[in-house]
Amino acid sequence: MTLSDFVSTASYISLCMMGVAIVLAAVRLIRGPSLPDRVVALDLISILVAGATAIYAIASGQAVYLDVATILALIAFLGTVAFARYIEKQVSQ
Amino acid sequence: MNEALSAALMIVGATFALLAGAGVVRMPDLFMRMQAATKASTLGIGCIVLAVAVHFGELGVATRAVATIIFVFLTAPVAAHMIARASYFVGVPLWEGTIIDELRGHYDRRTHRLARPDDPYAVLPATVDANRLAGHVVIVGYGRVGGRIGSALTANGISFVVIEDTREIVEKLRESDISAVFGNASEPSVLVQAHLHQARMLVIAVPDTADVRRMVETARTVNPRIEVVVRTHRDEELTSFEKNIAGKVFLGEHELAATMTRYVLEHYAARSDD
Repeated sequence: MTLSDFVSTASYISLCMMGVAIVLAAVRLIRGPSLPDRVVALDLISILVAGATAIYAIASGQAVYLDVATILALIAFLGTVAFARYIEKQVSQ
Repeated sequence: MNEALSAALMIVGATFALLAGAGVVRMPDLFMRMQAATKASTLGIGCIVLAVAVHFGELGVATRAVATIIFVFLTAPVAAHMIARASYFVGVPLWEGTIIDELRGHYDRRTHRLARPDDPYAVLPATVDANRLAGHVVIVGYGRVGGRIGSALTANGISFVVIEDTREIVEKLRESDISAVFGNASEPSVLVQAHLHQARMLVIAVPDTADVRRMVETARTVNPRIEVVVRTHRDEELTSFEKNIAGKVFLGEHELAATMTRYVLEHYAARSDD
């Protein structure tokens, strides 16, 4: 499957934008200040990586990468839920 | 055609992702950061995955893409809610410009369950027609003055909400189908219950003017464009209110004198005609 210049340019631009977004989220991950802030940032990073993977599926022409994106979204959800429970447990003790 | 669509969806999705990143860095408190992150990332992922489906144009890929979108749209709110709830218990600080924390006092700290508000009279019933809660008048105090204003408004078909700090009056008003909230009008949450943010005028008809300035200040934070009408009995308050409250101030004795004068002049003229 050949990729037109148009779509491939669009996919590279999108990948760059995702990269910037991930860096921004990482800034919040490092800065905090509270634990929930970091959890939200981490959750956003995993979602953004999933999005970048989906874009890469288009850029590389391999639909399998979509499955990777799905799994990443799943893991992001599980991780966030686990963190939320952990934060809430921490308070009640 | 498909190429253009998938490229556009991809760019839109990436833009939302970028907005989410910017929001997470720039927003002043956790809860605002979350609303930026979750909404934008959900929409971002949605668009990007849709772009994948359009690009490949195969049934298998499209099915997986739709499944992914449904999954993200179901899980993102759940995860966001859990994190927000947990953060609220930890006591993550709100932005210093926050006016009202409507959730405060509604969580049982021990069981972490949402408790019903203690007092049904402190909240406006959900059955109140929403059309009556926009461009309406908020009357604080439903005594001799407030009550008369209320009757006159009813006669003219103008909707209003009463704020009263006497339970019995609120109870009676509710029975006669008048919207009323129990509480102190200097509390932001009480003003919000009366939908002051959508109201056109605020009439403060309480005789005790100790709290009036605070009420007006709070009201102006909730709704900067509200028109305020205040009453007082003391001359020195008239000048200080007129200076500090941008609104109309009525002095009880002045109004009484004006009405009595009018009566006297009219009747004097009538008698001299005889």
